[in-house]
Amino acid sequence: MLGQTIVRTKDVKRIYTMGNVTVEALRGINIEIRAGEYLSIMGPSGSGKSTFFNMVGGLDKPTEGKVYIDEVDVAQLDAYELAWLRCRKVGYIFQSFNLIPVMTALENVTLPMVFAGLNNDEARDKGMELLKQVGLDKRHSHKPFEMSGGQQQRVAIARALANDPAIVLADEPTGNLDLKTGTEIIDILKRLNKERNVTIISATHDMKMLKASDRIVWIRDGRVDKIEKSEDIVIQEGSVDGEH
Amino acid sequence: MPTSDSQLLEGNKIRIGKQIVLPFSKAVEISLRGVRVRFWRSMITMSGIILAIAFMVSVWVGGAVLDGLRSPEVRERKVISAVLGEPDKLVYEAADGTGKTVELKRERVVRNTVAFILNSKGYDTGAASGEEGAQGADGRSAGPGGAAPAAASVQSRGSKDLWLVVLSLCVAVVGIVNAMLMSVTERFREIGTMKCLGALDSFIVKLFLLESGFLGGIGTAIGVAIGLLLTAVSSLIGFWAVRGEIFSAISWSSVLWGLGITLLTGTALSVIGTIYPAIVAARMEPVAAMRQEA
Ligand SMILES: Nc1ncnc2c1ncn2[C@@H]1O[C@H](COP(=O)(O)OP(=O)(O)O)[C@@H](O)[C@H]1O
Ligand SMILES: [Mg+2]
Repeated sequence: MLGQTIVRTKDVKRIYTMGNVTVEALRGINIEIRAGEYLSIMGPSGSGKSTFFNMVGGLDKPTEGKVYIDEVDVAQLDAYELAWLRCRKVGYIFQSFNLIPVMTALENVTLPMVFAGLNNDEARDKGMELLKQVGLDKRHSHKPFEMSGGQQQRVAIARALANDPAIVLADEPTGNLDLKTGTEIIDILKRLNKERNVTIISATHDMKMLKASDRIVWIRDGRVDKIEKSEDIVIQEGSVDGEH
Repeated sequence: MPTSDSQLLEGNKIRIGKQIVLPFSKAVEISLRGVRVRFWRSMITMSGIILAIAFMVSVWVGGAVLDGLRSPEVRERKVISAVLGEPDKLVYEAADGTGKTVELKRERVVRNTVAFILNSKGYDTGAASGEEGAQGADGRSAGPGGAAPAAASVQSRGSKDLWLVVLSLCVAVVGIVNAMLMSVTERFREIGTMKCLGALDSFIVKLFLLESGFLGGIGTAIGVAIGLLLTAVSSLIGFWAVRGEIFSAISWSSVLWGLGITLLTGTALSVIGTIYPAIVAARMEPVAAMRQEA
Protein backbone atom coordinates (compact mmCIF):
# COMPACT_ATOMS: atom_id res chain seq x y z
CA MET A 1 0.00 0.00 0.00
CA LEU A 2 2.26 2.75 -1.22
CA GLY A 3 1.27 6.35 -0.79
CA GLN A 4 2.74 9.55 -2.11
CA THR A 5 6.39 10.51 -2.13
CA ILE A 6 7.66 10.98 1.39
CA VAL A 7 11.38 11.45 0.76
CA ARG A 8 12.91 12.90 -2.36
CA THR A 9 16.53 13.76 -2.99
CA LYS A 10 17.79 15.90 -5.82
CA ASP A 11 21.44 15.66 -6.87
CA VAL A 12 22.56 15.25 -3.28
CA LYS A 13 26.29 15.64 -2.82
CA ARG A 14 28.18 15.54 0.42
CA ILE A 15 31.82 16.43 0.58
CA TYR A 16 33.73 15.99 3.82
CA THR A 17 36.69 18.27 4.28
CA MET A 18 39.40 17.41 6.73
CA GLY A 19 42.21 19.90 6.46
CA ASN A 20 43.12 19.86 2.78
CA VAL A 21 41.79 16.36 2.20
CA THR A 22 38.32 16.16 0.74
CA VAL A 23 36.21 13.04 0.56
CA GLU A 24 33.28 12.98 -1.81
CA ALA A 25 31.02 10.68 0.15
CA LEU A 26 27.94 11.30 -2.01
CA ARG A 27 28.29 12.27 -5.66
CA GLY A 28 24.77 13.14 -6.70
CA ILE A 29 21.98 10.92 -5.44
CA ASN A 30 18.48 11.08 -6.88
CA ILE A 31 15.93 8.94 -5.14
CA GLU A 32 12.22 9.03 -4.54
CA ILE A 33 10.80 7.04 -1.65
CA ARG A 34 7.08 6.41 -1.29
CA ALA A 35 5.17 6.38 1.98
CA GLY A 36 4.77 2.86 3.34
CA GLU A 37 7.70 1.51 1.39
CA TYR A 38 10.37 -0.80 2.82
CA LEU A 39 13.57 0.30 1.16
CA SER A 40 16.96 -1.31 1.62
CA ILE A 41 20.15 0.48 0.82
CA MET A 42 22.91 -1.93 -0.06
CA GLY A 43 26.53 -1.21 -0.65
CA PRO A 44 29.99 -1.99 0.54
CA SER A 45 31.44 -0.33 3.61
CA GLY A 46 32.42 3.25 2.91
CA SER A 47 30.09 3.57 -0.07
CA GLY A 48 28.15 6.40 1.61
CA LYS A 49 25.13 4.65 3.12
CA SER A 50 25.40 6.29 6.52
CA THR A 51 26.09 9.66 4.94
CA PHE A 52 22.94 9.28 2.86
CA PHE A 53 21.02 8.34 5.98
CA ASN A 54 22.09 11.45 7.81
CA MET A 55 20.72 13.50 4.92
CA VAL A 56 17.39 11.73 4.78
CA GLY A 57 16.98 11.86 8.55
CA GLY A 58 17.62 15.57 8.83
CA LEU A 59 20.80 14.92 10.81
CA ASP A 60 23.13 16.50 8.27
CA LYS A 61 22.78 18.88 5.36
CA PRO A 62 23.98 18.21 1.83
CA THR A 63 26.91 20.17 0.45
CA GLU A 64 24.96 20.44 -2.79
CA GLY A 65 21.49 19.41 -3.84
CA LYS A 66 18.24 19.14 -1.93
CA VAL A 67 16.55 16.73 0.40
CA TYR A 68 12.77 16.96 0.68
CA ILE A 69 10.93 15.21 3.47
CA ASP A 70 7.20 15.41 2.89
CA GLU A 71 8.07 17.92 0.15
CA VAL A 72 9.74 20.25 2.66
CA ASP A 73 13.32 21.26 1.96
CA VAL A 74 15.24 20.14 5.02
CA ALA A 75 17.91 22.80 4.53
CA GLN A 76 15.29 25.51 5.14
CA LEU A 77 14.36 24.32 8.61
CA ASP A 78 15.49 26.13 11.75
CA ALA A 79 16.73 24.38 14.88
CA TYR A 80 13.26 24.04 16.41
CA GLU A 81 11.77 22.63 13.22
CA LEU A 82 14.65 20.20 12.82
CA ALA A 83 14.19 18.98 16.38
CA TRP A 84 10.47 18.61 15.71
CA LEU A 85 11.21 16.62 12.55
CA ARG A 86 13.63 14.33 14.36
CA CYS A 87 11.22 13.91 17.21
CA ARG A 88 7.98 13.20 15.36
CA LYS A 89 8.57 12.60 11.71
CA VAL A 90 11.56 10.28 11.79
CA GLY A 91 12.48 7.36 14.03
CA TYR A 92 16.10 6.24 14.20
CA ILE A 93 17.53 2.80 14.77
CA PHE A 94 21.28 2.50 15.15
CA GLN A 95 23.73 -0.30 14.67
CA SER A 96 24.93 0.11 18.25
CA PHE A 97 21.39 0.43 19.68
CA ASN A 98 22.20 3.71 21.47
CA LEU A 99 19.84 3.29 24.37
CA ILE A 100 20.42 5.82 27.13
CA PRO A 101 22.39 3.71 29.63
CA VAL A 102 20.98 5.31 32.78
CA MET A 103 17.37 4.78 31.74
CA THR A 104 15.16 1.70 31.87
CA ALA A 105 13.63 0.18 28.74
CA LEU A 106 10.38 2.03 29.35
CA GLU A 107 12.11 5.34 30.07
CA ASN A 108 14.08 4.96 26.86
CA VAL A 109 10.92 4.37 24.87
CA THR A 110 9.07 7.28 26.46
CA LEU A 111 11.92 9.80 26.13
CA PRO A 112 10.88 10.97 22.63
CA MET A 113 7.31 11.29 23.92
CA VAL A 114 8.57 13.49 26.74
CA PHE A 115 10.33 15.65 24.15
CA ALA A 116 7.08 15.78 22.22
CA GLY A 117 5.27 17.07 25.30
CA LEU A 118 3.19 14.05 26.34
CA ASN A 119 2.45 13.80 30.05
CA ASN A 120 3.86 10.96 32.12
CA ASP A 121 0.73 8.80 32.19
CA GLU A 122 0.08 9.00 28.47
CA ALA A 123 3.72 8.28 27.74
CA ARG A 124 3.77 5.34 30.12
CA ASP A 125 0.72 3.69 28.58
CA LYS A 126 1.93 4.23 25.05
CA GLY A 127 5.43 3.06 25.94
CA MET A 128 4.14 -0.16 27.48
CA GLU A 129 2.00 -0.76 24.40
CA LEU A 130 5.03 -0.33 22.14
CA LEU A 131 7.17 -2.60 24.32
CA LYS A 132 4.42 -5.19 24.08
CA GLN A 133 4.54 -4.94 20.31
CA VAL A 134 8.23 -5.87 20.34
CA GLY A 135 7.64 -8.53 22.97
CA LEU A 136 9.44 -6.81 25.85
CA ASP A 137 6.66 -5.50 28.09
CA LYS A 138 7.87 -7.74 30.93
CA ARG A 139 11.30 -6.14 30.76
CA HIS A 140 10.16 -2.55 30.98
CA SER A 141 12.13 -1.85 34.15
CA HIS A 142 15.41 -3.32 32.91
CA LYS A 143 18.39 -1.17 32.12
CA PRO A 144 20.13 -1.62 28.75
CA PHE A 145 23.13 -3.45 30.25
CA GLU A 146 20.74 -6.05 31.68
CA MET A 147 19.50 -6.95 28.22
CA SER A 148 20.94 -8.86 25.27
CA GLY A 149 21.80 -7.11 22.03
CA GLY A 150 18.64 -8.33 20.36
CA GLN A 151 16.50 -7.12 23.24
CA GLN A 152 18.22 -3.73 23.23
CA GLN A 153 17.57 -3.40 19.53
CA ARG A 154 13.91 -4.25 20.07
CA VAL A 155 13.69 -1.51 22.70
CA ALA A 156 15.31 0.80 20.16
CA ILE A 157 12.64 -0.15 17.62
CA ALA A 158 9.92 0.63 20.14
CA ARG A 159 11.62 3.95 20.83
CA ALA A 160 11.87 4.76 17.13
CA LEU A 161 8.09 4.35 16.91
CA ALA A 162 7.38 6.46 19.99
CA ASN A 163 5.81 9.43 18.25
CA ASP A 164 4.29 7.49 15.33
CA PRO A 165 6.86 8.67 12.81
CA ALA A 166 6.19 8.48 9.10
CA ILE A 167 9.71 7.24 8.45
CA VAL A 168 11.95 4.83 10.34
CA LEU A 169 15.62 4.97 9.45
CA ALA A 170 17.71 1.97 10.36
CA ASP A 171 21.44 2.12 9.74
CA GLU A 172 22.70 -1.47 9.77
CA PRO A 173 20.23 -2.50 12.48
CA THR A 174 21.48 -6.08 12.46
CA GLY A 175 25.18 -5.22 12.17
CA ASN A 176 25.94 -6.04 15.81
CA LEU A 177 23.64 -9.05 16.08
CA ASP A 178 23.97 -12.75 15.34
CA LEU A 179 22.10 -14.38 12.50
CA LYS A 180 19.05 -15.55 14.41
CA THR A 181 18.57 -12.34 16.39
CA GLY A 182 19.12 -10.31 13.26
CA THR A 183 16.36 -12.23 11.50
CA GLU A 184 14.01 -11.55 14.39
CA ILE A 185 14.73 -7.84 14.18
CA ILE A 186 14.06 -7.81 10.46
CA ASP A 187 10.82 -9.71 10.99
CA ILE A 188 9.69 -7.13 13.51
CA LEU A 189 10.59 -4.28 11.18
CA LYS A 190 8.70 -5.92 8.32
CA ARG A 191 5.68 -6.54 10.52
CA LEU A 192 5.60 -2.94 11.70
CA ASN A 193 6.01 -1.78 8.12
CA LYS A 194 2.91 -3.79 7.17
CA GLU A 195 0.80 -3.10 10.27
CA ARG A 196 1.51 0.58 10.70
CA ASN A 197 2.29 1.42 7.13
CA VAL A 198 5.45 3.17 8.29
CA THR A 199 8.14 3.84 5.71
CA ILE A 200 11.29 1.92 6.52
CA ILE A 201 14.64 2.84 5.08
CA SER A 202 17.40 0.52 6.09
CA ALA A 203 21.07 0.33 5.22
CA THR A 204 22.57 -3.07 5.31
CA HIS A 205 25.01 -5.68 4.10
CA ASP A 206 22.57 -8.30 5.18
CA MET A 207 20.99 -10.46 2.45
CA LYS A 208 18.11 -11.32 4.79
CA MET A 209 17.10 -7.70 4.60
CA LEU A 210 16.55 -8.04 0.89
CA LYS A 211 13.61 -10.39 1.23
CA ALA A 212 11.83 -8.00 3.55
CA SER A 213 12.33 -5.02 1.27
CA ASP A 214 10.12 -3.73 -1.49
CA ARG A 215 13.01 -2.11 -3.28
CA ILE A 216 16.76 -2.30 -3.03
CA VAL A 217 19.02 0.62 -3.85
CA TRP A 218 22.58 -0.37 -4.55
CA ILE A 219 25.11 2.32 -3.73
CA ARG A 220 28.71 2.32 -4.82
CA ASP A 221 31.22 5.13 -4.31
CA GLY A 222 28.55 7.64 -3.43
CA ARG A 223 26.42 6.95 -6.49
CA VAL A 224 23.31 4.91 -7.05
CA ASP A 225 24.49 1.83 -8.86
CA LYS A 226 21.09 0.33 -9.57
CA ILE A 227 17.61 0.13 -8.09
CA GLU A 228 15.87 -3.21 -8.02
CA LYS A 229 12.47 -4.49 -7.01
CA SER A 230 12.73 -7.32 -4.54
CA GLU A 231 10.82 -9.68 -6.85
CA ASP A 232 13.71 -9.49 -9.27
CA ILE A 233 16.44 -10.16 -6.76
CA VAL A 234 15.17 -13.06 -4.69
CA ILE A 235 15.97 -15.52 -7.44
CA GLN A 236 19.59 -14.56 -7.82
CA GLU A 237 20.32 -14.47 -4.09
CA GLY A 238 23.97 -15.05 -3.49
CA SER A 239 26.96 -13.30 -2.05
CA VAL A 240 26.91 -9.61 -1.35
CA ASP A 241 29.77 -7.56 -2.60
CA GLY A 242 30.26 -5.76 0.62
CA GLU A 243 31.60 -7.33 3.73
CA HIS A 244 31.91 -5.71 7.10
CA MET B 1 4.35 14.93 -7.83
CA PRO B 2 5.41 18.31 -9.15
CA THR B 3 5.56 21.05 -6.59
CA SER B 4 6.33 24.70 -7.05
CA ASP B 5 8.39 26.64 -4.57
CA SER B 6 5.46 28.57 -3.20
CA GLN B 7 3.61 25.36 -2.51
CA LEU B 8 6.68 24.08 -0.70
CA LEU B 9 6.65 27.12 1.49
CA GLU B 10 3.05 26.52 2.32
CA GLY B 11 3.75 22.86 3.00
CA ASN B 12 6.53 23.97 5.26
CA LYS B 13 4.04 25.74 7.48
CA ILE B 14 1.56 22.93 7.55
CA ARG B 15 3.70 19.87 7.77
CA ILE B 16 6.59 20.80 10.00
CA GLY B 17 5.94 22.14 13.46
CA LYS B 18 8.24 23.71 16.02
CA GLN B 19 9.64 21.64 18.80
CA ILE B 20 8.35 22.68 22.20
CA VAL B 21 10.67 23.76 24.98
CA LEU B 22 10.27 21.25 27.80
CA PRO B 23 9.08 22.53 31.16
CA PHE B 24 11.89 22.98 33.65
CA SER B 25 10.51 20.27 35.90
CA LYS B 26 11.05 17.71 33.14
CA ALA B 27 14.71 18.64 32.85
CA VAL B 28 15.00 18.34 36.63
CA GLU B 29 13.34 14.93 36.55
CA ILE B 30 15.61 13.59 33.82
CA SER B 31 18.79 15.05 35.31
CA LEU B 32 17.98 13.59 38.74
CA ARG B 33 17.69 10.18 37.12
CA GLY B 34 21.20 10.54 35.72
CA VAL B 35 22.52 11.80 39.04
CA ARG B 36 21.06 8.83 40.89
CA VAL B 37 22.51 6.23 38.55
CA ARG B 38 25.94 7.81 38.17
CA PHE B 39 26.16 8.92 41.78
CA TRP B 40 29.37 7.30 43.05
CA ARG B 41 31.27 7.96 39.89
CA SER B 42 30.20 11.57 39.94
CA MET B 43 31.31 11.91 43.54
CA ILE B 44 34.82 11.06 42.38
CA THR B 45 34.49 13.87 39.84
CA MET B 46 33.40 16.08 42.69
CA SER B 47 36.23 15.01 45.02
CA GLY B 48 38.12 18.22 44.25
CA ILE B 49 35.25 20.41 45.38
CA ILE B 50 34.60 18.13 48.37
CA LEU B 51 38.17 18.58 49.57
CA ALA B 52 38.26 22.29 48.87
CA ILE B 53 35.00 22.80 50.73
CA ALA B 54 36.22 20.65 53.62
CA PHE B 55 39.25 22.90 53.78
CA MET B 56 37.16 26.05 53.58
CA VAL B 57 34.92 24.84 56.39
CA SER B 58 37.80 23.78 58.60
CA VAL B 59 39.44 27.16 58.16
CA TRP B 60 36.19 28.95 58.86
CA VAL B 61 35.08 26.91 61.84
CA GLY B 62 38.62 26.43 63.10
CA GLY B 63 38.96 30.21 63.07
CA ALA B 64 35.68 30.50 64.93
CA VAL B 65 37.00 28.11 67.58
CA LEU B 66 40.18 30.13 68.05
CA ASP B 67 38.35 33.43 68.11
CA GLY B 68 35.92 31.97 70.58
CA LEU B 69 38.65 30.75 72.88
CA ARG B 70 40.38 34.11 72.64
CA SER B 71 37.33 36.07 73.56
CA PRO B 72 37.69 38.18 76.71
CA GLU B 73 35.08 36.19 78.63
CA VAL B 74 36.82 32.89 78.08
CA ARG B 75 40.20 34.38 78.79
CA GLU B 76 38.97 35.82 82.05
CA ARG B 77 37.51 32.56 83.16
CA LYS B 78 40.34 30.33 82.09
CA VAL B 79 43.24 32.80 81.95
CA ILE B 80 44.05 32.10 78.37
CA SER B 81 46.30 34.38 76.48
CA ALA B 82 47.05 34.47 72.84
CA VAL B 83 50.65 34.35 71.83
CA LEU B 84 51.91 37.23 69.74
CA GLY B 85 52.73 36.35 66.17
CA GLU B 86 51.44 32.86 66.49
CA PRO B 87 47.76 32.96 65.78
CA ASP B 88 47.21 29.28 66.35
CA LYS B 89 48.90 29.16 69.71
CA LEU B 90 47.15 29.79 72.99
CA VAL B 91 48.62 29.81 76.44
CA TYR B 92 46.41 28.57 79.15
CA GLU B 93 47.21 29.23 82.79
CA ALA B 94 45.91 26.37 84.83
CA ALA B 95 43.10 27.59 87.04
CA ASP B 96 44.21 25.59 90.04
CA GLY B 97 46.15 28.57 91.34
CA THR B 98 49.60 27.00 90.93
CA GLY B 99 50.43 29.46 88.15
CA LYS B 100 51.42 26.63 85.87
CA THR B 101 50.98 27.37 82.19
CA VAL B 102 50.12 25.01 79.41
CA GLU B 103 50.87 25.83 75.81
CA LEU B 104 48.28 24.81 73.29
CA LYS B 105 48.81 24.47 69.63
CA ARG B 106 46.04 23.67 67.27
CA GLU B 107 46.87 20.75 65.07
CA ARG B 108 47.59 21.72 61.52
CA VAL B 109 46.41 18.45 60.07
CA VAL B 110 43.77 19.83 57.75
CA ARG B 111 45.71 22.72 56.41
CA ASN B 112 48.81 20.66 55.79
CA THR B 113 46.83 17.97 54.02
CA VAL B 114 45.28 20.45 51.62
CA ALA B 115 48.58 22.24 51.16
CA PHE B 116 50.10 18.89 50.31
CA ILE B 117 47.43 18.23 47.68
CA LEU B 118 47.90 21.67 46.18
CA ASN B 119 51.68 21.24 46.18
CA SER B 120 51.39 17.87 44.51
CA LYS B 121 49.31 19.51 41.78
CA GLY B 122 52.08 21.99 41.21
CA TYR B 123 50.72 24.90 43.23
CA ASP B 124 53.31 26.24 45.65
CA THR B 125 51.54 27.25 48.80
CA GLY B 126 54.55 27.40 51.06
CA ALA B 127 52.22 26.31 53.83
CA ALA B 128 53.47 22.81 54.31
CA SER B 129 57.08 23.79 54.90
CA GLY B 130 57.11 27.25 56.42
CA GLU B 131 54.90 26.50 59.35
CA GLU B 132 57.11 24.55 61.74
CA GLY B 133 59.78 27.22 62.18
CA ALA B 134 57.47 29.59 64.00
CA GLN B 135 56.89 27.06 66.70
CA GLY B 136 58.46 27.35 70.07
CA ALA B 137 59.39 31.02 69.85
CA ASP B 138 59.13 33.29 72.85
CA GLY B 139 55.61 32.47 73.80
CA ARG B 140 53.24 33.34 76.59
CA SER B 141 54.28 36.96 76.84
CA ALA B 142 51.01 38.55 75.91
CA GLY B 143 49.40 39.70 79.08
CA PRO B 144 45.72 40.28 79.75
CA GLY B 145 45.82 43.49 77.73
CA GLY B 146 46.87 41.86 74.46
CA ALA B 147 43.60 42.16 72.63
CA ALA B 148 44.80 44.44 69.85
CA PRO B 149 47.84 42.37 68.80
CA ALA B 150 45.66 39.28 68.92
CA ALA B 151 43.17 40.86 66.55
CA ALA B 152 45.98 41.80 64.18
CA SER B 153 47.27 38.27 64.13
CA VAL B 154 43.79 36.96 63.51
CA GLN B 155 43.72 39.22 60.52
CA SER B 156 46.98 37.89 59.13
CA ARG B 157 45.82 34.34 59.68
CA GLY B 158 42.59 35.21 57.93
CA SER B 159 44.17 36.59 54.80
CA LYS B 160 46.62 33.75 54.49
CA ASP B 161 43.87 31.18 54.90
CA LEU B 162 41.62 33.06 52.54
CA TRP B 163 44.32 32.93 49.91
CA LEU B 164 44.62 29.16 50.40
CA VAL B 165 40.86 28.69 50.32
CA VAL B 166 40.49 30.67 47.10
CA LEU B 167 43.36 28.76 45.56
CA SER B 168 41.93 25.39 46.45
CA LEU B 169 38.48 26.41 45.15
CA CYS B 170 40.07 27.47 41.87
CA VAL B 171 41.81 24.12 41.61
CA ALA B 172 38.48 22.45 42.28
CA VAL B 173 36.70 24.43 39.54
CA VAL B 174 39.44 23.64 37.02
CA GLY B 175 39.05 20.01 38.05
CA ILE B 176 35.31 20.17 37.43
CA VAL B 177 35.72 21.78 34.00
CA ASN B 178 38.20 19.07 33.10
CA ALA B 179 36.11 16.19 34.41
CA MET B 180 32.95 17.53 32.79
CA LEU B 181 34.65 17.92 29.42
CA MET B 182 35.73 14.30 29.70
CA SER B 183 32.23 13.30 30.64
CA VAL B 184 30.89 15.12 27.56
CA THR B 185 33.33 13.28 25.28
CA GLU B 186 32.41 10.04 26.95
CA ARG B 187 28.71 10.65 26.56
CA PHE B 188 28.85 11.80 22.91
CA ARG B 189 26.67 8.90 21.83
CA GLU B 190 24.07 9.58 24.52
CA ILE B 191 23.98 13.29 23.67
CA GLY B 192 23.80 12.58 19.94
CA THR B 193 21.00 10.10 20.49
CA MET B 194 19.02 12.58 22.58
CA LYS B 195 19.32 15.11 19.79
CA CYS B 196 18.14 12.50 17.29
CA LEU B 197 15.14 11.93 19.53
CA GLY B 198 14.26 15.60 19.45
CA ALA B 199 16.19 17.25 22.29
CA LEU B 200 16.85 20.96 21.80
CA ASP B 201 20.30 22.40 22.49
CA SER B 202 18.90 24.31 25.44
CA PHE B 203 17.67 21.06 26.95
CA ILE B 204 21.16 19.51 26.77
CA VAL B 205 22.60 22.60 28.46
CA LYS B 206 19.96 22.46 31.18
CA LEU B 207 20.58 18.76 31.69
CA PHE B 208 24.30 19.24 32.29
CA LEU B 209 23.93 22.34 34.45
CA LEU B 210 21.25 20.73 36.62
CA GLU B 211 23.27 17.57 37.02
CA SER B 212 26.30 19.52 38.14
CA GLY B 213 24.14 21.69 40.39
CA PHE B 214 22.78 18.66 42.20
CA LEU B 215 26.17 16.97 42.35
CA GLY B 216 27.82 20.20 43.47
CA GLY B 217 25.23 20.62 46.22
CA ILE B 218 25.66 17.08 47.46
CA GLY B 219 29.45 17.25 47.13
CA THR B 220 29.53 20.50 49.07
CA ALA B 221 27.36 19.02 51.80
CA ILE B 222 29.77 16.08 52.08
CA GLY B 223 32.69 18.51 52.12
CA VAL B 224 31.01 20.51 54.90
CA ALA B 225 30.50 17.33 56.92
CA ILE B 226 34.12 16.28 56.45
CA GLY B 227 35.34 19.78 57.28
CA LEU B 228 33.28 19.93 60.47
CA LEU B 229 34.49 16.50 61.51
CA LEU B 230 38.13 17.39 60.89
CA THR B 231 37.77 20.68 62.75
CA ALA B 232 36.10 18.98 65.67
CA VAL B 233 38.87 16.39 65.89
CA SER B 234 41.73 18.84 65.43
CA SER B 235 40.24 21.35 67.89
CA LEU B 236 39.69 18.67 70.48
CA ILE B 237 43.24 17.38 70.09
CA GLY B 238 44.79 20.82 69.97
CA PHE B 239 42.80 22.40 72.78
CA TRP B 240 42.14 19.35 74.91
CA ALA B 241 42.94 21.29 78.09
CA VAL B 242 40.09 23.70 77.44
CA ARG B 243 37.78 21.26 75.65
CA GLY B 244 34.87 22.24 77.86
CA GLU B 245 35.04 25.80 76.56
CA ILE B 246 35.10 25.08 72.86
CA PHE B 247 31.40 24.65 72.23
CA SER B 248 30.24 27.48 74.37
CA ALA B 249 32.94 29.78 73.06
CA ILE B 250 32.04 29.46 69.40
CA SER B 251 29.71 31.99 67.81
CA TRP B 252 27.32 29.50 66.26
CA SER B 253 25.31 32.01 64.32
CA SER B 254 28.37 33.10 62.39
CA VAL B 255 29.35 29.47 61.83
CA LEU B 256 25.90 28.61 60.45
CA TRP B 257 25.95 31.70 58.29
CA GLY B 258 29.34 30.62 56.99
CA LEU B 259 28.12 27.11 56.25
CA GLY B 260 25.21 28.50 54.26
CA ILE B 261 27.55 30.65 52.20
CA THR B 262 29.82 27.65 51.72
CA LEU B 263 26.94 25.52 50.44
CA LEU B 264 25.98 28.21 47.94
CA THR B 265 29.57 28.76 46.87
CA GLY B 266 30.21 25.06 46.26
CA THR B 267 27.03 24.58 44.25
CA ALA B 268 27.55 27.76 42.25
CA LEU B 269 31.16 26.92 41.46
CA SER B 270 30.27 23.49 40.19
CA VAL B 271 27.54 24.94 37.97
CA ILE B 272 29.91 27.65 36.71
CA GLY B 273 32.55 25.02 35.97
CA THR B 274 30.03 23.15 33.84
CA ILE B 275 28.89 26.05 31.65
CA TYR B 276 31.57 25.59 29.03
CA PRO B 277 31.35 21.75 28.91
CA ALA B 278 27.55 22.02 28.66
CA ILE B 279 27.83 24.33 25.64
CA VAL B 280 30.28 21.91 24.05
CA ALA B 281 27.75 19.12 24.64
CA ALA B 282 24.85 21.11 23.21
CA ARG B 283 26.81 21.92 20.05
CA MET B 284 27.51 18.26 19.44
CA GLU B 285 26.02 17.09 16.15
CA PRO B 286 23.30 14.45 16.26
CA VAL B 287 25.28 12.38 13.74
CA ALA B 288 27.64 11.68 16.63
CA ALA B 289 25.12 9.03 17.64
CA MET B 290 25.84 7.18 14.41
CA ARG B 291 29.57 7.03 14.87
CA GLN B 292 30.80 3.50 15.17
CA GLU B 293 33.94 3.74 17.26
CA ALA B 294 33.20 2.88 20.86
N1 LIG C 1 32.49 12.66 9.42
C1 LIG C 1 33.24 12.29 8.36
N2 LIG C 1 34.35 12.98 8.06
C2 LIG C 1 35.09 12.62 7.00
N3 LIG C 1 34.83 11.61 6.17
C3 LIG C 1 33.73 10.88 6.41
C4 LIG C 1 32.88 11.19 7.52
N4 LIG C 1 31.86 10.30 7.52
C5 LIG C 1 32.07 9.49 6.48
N5 LIG C 1 33.19 9.83 5.80
C6 LIG C 1 33.71 9.19 4.59
O1 LIG C 1 32.66 9.15 3.65
C7 LIG C 1 32.63 7.92 2.99
C8 LIG C 1 31.29 7.24 3.19
O2 LIG C 1 31.13 6.86 4.52
P1 LIG C 1 29.80 6.23 5.13
O3 LIG C 1 28.65 7.04 4.69
O4 LIG C 1 29.99 6.04 6.58
O5 LIG C 1 29.76 4.81 4.40
P2 LIG C 1 28.98 3.49 4.82
O6 LIG C 1 27.95 3.83 5.85
O7 LIG C 1 28.40 3.00 3.54
O8 LIG C 1 29.98 2.53 5.34
C9 LIG C 1 33.79 7.10 3.53
O9 LIG C 1 34.87 7.22 2.67
C10 LIG C 1 34.09 7.76 4.85
O10 LIG C 1 35.45 7.64 5.15
MG1 LIG D 1 27.72 3.07 7.77
